[in-house]
Amino acid sequence: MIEEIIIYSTISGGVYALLALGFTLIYGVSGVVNLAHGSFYMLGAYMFYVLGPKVLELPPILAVILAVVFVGVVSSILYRLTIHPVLGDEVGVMVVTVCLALIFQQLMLLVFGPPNVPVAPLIEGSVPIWGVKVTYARILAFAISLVLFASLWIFISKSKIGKAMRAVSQDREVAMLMGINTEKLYMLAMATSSMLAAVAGIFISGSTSGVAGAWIWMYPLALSFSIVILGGLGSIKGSLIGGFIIGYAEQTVIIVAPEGGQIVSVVPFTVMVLVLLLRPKGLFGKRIEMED
Amino acid sequence: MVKSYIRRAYSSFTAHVFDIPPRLMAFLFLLVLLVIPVAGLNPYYLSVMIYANVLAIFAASWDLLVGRTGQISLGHALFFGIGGYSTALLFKFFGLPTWVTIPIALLIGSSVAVLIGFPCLRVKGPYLALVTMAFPIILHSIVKWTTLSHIFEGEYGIRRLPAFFASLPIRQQRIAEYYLTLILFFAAAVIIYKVANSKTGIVFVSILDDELASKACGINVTKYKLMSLIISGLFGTLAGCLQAHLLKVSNPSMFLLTWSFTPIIVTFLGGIGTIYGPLVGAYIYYILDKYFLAIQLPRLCKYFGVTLPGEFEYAKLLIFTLIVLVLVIKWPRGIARFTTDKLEDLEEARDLDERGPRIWKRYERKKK
Amino acid sequence: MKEKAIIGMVITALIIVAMFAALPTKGQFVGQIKIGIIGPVGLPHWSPAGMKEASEMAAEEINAAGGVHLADGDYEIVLAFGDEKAYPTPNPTDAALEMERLITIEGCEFIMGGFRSEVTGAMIEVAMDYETPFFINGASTDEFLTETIAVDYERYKYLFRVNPINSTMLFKTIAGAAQFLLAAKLLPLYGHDLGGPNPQVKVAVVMEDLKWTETMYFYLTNPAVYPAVLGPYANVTYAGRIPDGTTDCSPWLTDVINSEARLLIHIFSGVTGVPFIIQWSAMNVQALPLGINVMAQLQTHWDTTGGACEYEGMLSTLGTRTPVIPGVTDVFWDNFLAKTGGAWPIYTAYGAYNGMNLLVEALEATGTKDKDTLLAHFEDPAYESSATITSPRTKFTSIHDVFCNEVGPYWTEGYARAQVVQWLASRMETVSPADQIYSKKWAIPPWMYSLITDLNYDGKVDIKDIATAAKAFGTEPGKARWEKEADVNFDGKIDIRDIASIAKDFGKSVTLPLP
Repeated sequence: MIEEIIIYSTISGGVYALLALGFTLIYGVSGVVNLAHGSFYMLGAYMFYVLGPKVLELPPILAVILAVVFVGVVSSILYRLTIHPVLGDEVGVMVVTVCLALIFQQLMLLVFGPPNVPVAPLIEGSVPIWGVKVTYARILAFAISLVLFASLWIFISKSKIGKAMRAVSQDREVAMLMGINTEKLYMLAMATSSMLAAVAGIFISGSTSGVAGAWIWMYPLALSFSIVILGGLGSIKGSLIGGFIIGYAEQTVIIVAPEGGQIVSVVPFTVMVLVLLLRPKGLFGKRIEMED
Repeated sequence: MVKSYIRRAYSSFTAHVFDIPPRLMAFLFLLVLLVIPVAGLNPYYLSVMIYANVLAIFAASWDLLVGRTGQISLGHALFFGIGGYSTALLFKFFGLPTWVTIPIALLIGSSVAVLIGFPCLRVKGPYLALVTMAFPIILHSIVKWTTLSHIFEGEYGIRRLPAFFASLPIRQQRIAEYYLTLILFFAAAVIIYKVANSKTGIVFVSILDDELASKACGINVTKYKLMSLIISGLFGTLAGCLQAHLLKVSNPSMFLLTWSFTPIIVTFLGGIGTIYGPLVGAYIYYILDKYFLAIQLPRLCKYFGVTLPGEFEYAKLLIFTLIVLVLVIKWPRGIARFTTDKLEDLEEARDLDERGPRIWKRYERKKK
Repeated sequence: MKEKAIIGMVITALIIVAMFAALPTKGQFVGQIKIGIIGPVGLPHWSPAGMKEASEMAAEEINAAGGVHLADGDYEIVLAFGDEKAYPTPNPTDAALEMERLITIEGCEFIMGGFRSEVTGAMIEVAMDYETPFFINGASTDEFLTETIAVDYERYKYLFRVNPINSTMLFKTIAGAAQFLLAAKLLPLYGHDLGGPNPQVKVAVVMEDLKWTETMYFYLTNPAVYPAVLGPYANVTYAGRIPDGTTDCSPWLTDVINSEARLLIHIFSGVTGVPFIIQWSAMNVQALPLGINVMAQLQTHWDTTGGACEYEGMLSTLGTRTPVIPGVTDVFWDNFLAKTGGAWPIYTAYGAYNGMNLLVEALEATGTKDKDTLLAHFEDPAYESSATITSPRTKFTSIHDVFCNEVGPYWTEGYARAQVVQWLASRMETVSPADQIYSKKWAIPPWMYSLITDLNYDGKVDIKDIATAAKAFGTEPGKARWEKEADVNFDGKIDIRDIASIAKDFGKSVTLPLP
């Protein structure tokens, strides 16, 4: 029981954090609350299906890379065309991103039809850890999530662009005065954020459900915003810790009360509201910074 | 005596309505809306407009909260669902008639507003938006929960609610429902408009402009924010009650994200912060989808001998959302405000400053 | 001369016209009967969209045969389609408006459809507002009839359900199949002394947390009740409820593994059913899945799960090309495939076809379009029809539900019932009812029991197994000596290949019961 909780919570927490990472990144840099984040998750999974072993039969690694790059390109184009004109207007951004989410949902329905499409895991088989059966695909998803976290962390703290991102998130105008091209930076942040969502889509879908459908954008979106709010909008550390908190809370409830049913899907949001009662800005609420 | 009174009323009416183009427009729009059912329309069109009226009430309530106070809510479906379920539960367990259940539901709705006000008003900006989004999601799961299904009846929802005018034949029922929802919308709009133009309303806008400065002026910001949340929740609940009795069903879908997003899209389409914008937006929303795309386009295609593929059903929402997206990007200030601006430009030939879409322009001018 | 020729031509022409006018008006319609089809018809070739194709097929066939013969002439069937807009998120407002459009703008006199129960409730109210006969096809919820027509007959009298049978009977079908499976196959393999009066098999129950499963959950998990439902050999060791829409079922499946259950009763109506089966396979759960999985009836299920759904047993109206009525059901199947380019029909397609045929038969019997006469016809205690293709006989209960009286492993009277099918080599094979010509034997996955040639489940392949096969040698389904257990390779005949594979395993044995 305890082993089950620890193993499942850790793995889910890690991948949930990956889900939230992109959401927090784009908010932290450009202040965009991207309600289409779940759609990029969905798009990633669908693109992997198209490129992957079932349809175009590309090698899986290549398929993952191409799908992720495709999502990044699509998202930066969409950012330029739709979000950019309403930037600075919080409600406008939300309306535009909601519209984008609905458009993606209908597009997927039109192109692929309502039945689910398979999203194959990259590796098969399972291994018992402490007597709990865990598939390799889940372990891979967990590992990828940690690797991406670490590399984003290093990118933000060490690279020039990362420093520029931090500067812009602290004060946009001063950053512009210092000669930073904020527009390019925003597009880059959007592309990175949606690519992270796409990676999450491919690996989470592949390792758990094994399918993608036009409905899969909603729960990831709701989950990622509850993690992000919990950890603090714009905080990378926050989304990591928020992911683990939500993962532990959810999996504990499932395993302790398997007959709870619907109550399981309430857990992340309840935890979030409770945390906000205590800390109105989340656990680590500030804009992208190295919280050291 | 009477004659002079009528004359006075008439002259004040001309001064307050006819001389101001947007109000004249609104007045003409109202007249058109009032005579529509007399034209002997097919009840389907009336139904479409009935739901448009309900959506207009719902969106106007969201507009008060967001357009005036700047408290961005992404979870207005909460009030919609609370309204639907309160009236349905009161009917189910106590057998109360509709005119009793709806006022009680309104009370419940405003109490819920107070209740969620405590966690919500502590947080600001996007935090608030995303936190409010969580409440309807939580309630959606709770009403679907089988353990409580003897109360909420799970995913089917509470069915067989009484219609408003059950004794009339169906066509007359539609006409009566149309007038009921239209009158309720105008009542709601007038109340919201009055609130918005009262001293309280000025405080609301000051909170929108600068919360910190308002605080510095000695305004109890939390009190006013809570007040706007309560008024907004009240009318959101009203819309939910109406929807439930019109459909005769209140089911968990009322808590879905869709119902949180629809008022946003509609308000933004019409013009945020205007109160009348949501009506325009709601009518555009329903007429575009349920009239042009559902009826006229297939007819046109049939006329030209084009067969629509089955996928068209799903392309409809896509086309609709694309249109909305383009409108939102093209006219971020909303269609209704765009039109009135044009009219005022013609009349006053005055340059209008282009501030953010959230600021209500008329009020701004008054301030100068 | 010229004038004469012209006059002659005119007269000839007149005579020809008069001759044509005097001909019997066969093929000429005096009017139309407009039928509205409402459901997820928006996307063709999706199986619930089969509702659209199947009703079009029925309408074409009826019109080609001269239309509906009423007392005052022949009527043409015209269809109008409405989408209930329930996918991916249900919206009762849109569904109600679509229903109203069909009735008022399109002028439909009869409506068929209603797939998702979330929106069907609202659609029923609109149809009853306009007193339009509504034949539910798709939603199996009991309450749509027990809480409407049974309570307020005057308002809801025009409400019928043609397909499927109600969810209580669906559940009983599953319970009956589980009883049969436990007694015949799982008990010899996995029966252990678990403290009861007789050996028992451990059973796990996992279902989605929605109201329609409430009664099923109670019957399957309450220790005082489930022996009566599942029979004396079941011991329910695990019960879990998954919120609908979940994509990660592994925590529950881990519990199933830990509970050592060998039969996994799963009940899903929504999207979760597919990930559930994929994870069941990926985690290598040693329990045979049996239950209700609406998404698993789709033809795409096999490809979507990558074949992981093999051995999944679940409810379906019919299996793959199941010839319930030879020459009718299989012909429908072939025509449907030809029309859709290879997509399989599922229950709503059968229901739409059945509904159209039942309606037209009743209209012709009464000779009028009058709905009250039609109502009296359907409510006549002597009413019974054989116009359906999924069961030889059809009638309605007192609350206008399609009548069903058999849920066990046999089907003798022929009224509507659901079948239990098993996914096997990309086909759905009927396993219950077990007494039909087309029924196949219940396959136990080889990774649960490796000796597939042990026909009598005694733990060893011996001369008894060979004798069983030899006795049935050379037979095909329908023959007197046919024994479906001996058809080891599922090719529909018992030949030397079956006997050879049994003989190859001769002497192999395992100790029963397995853990």
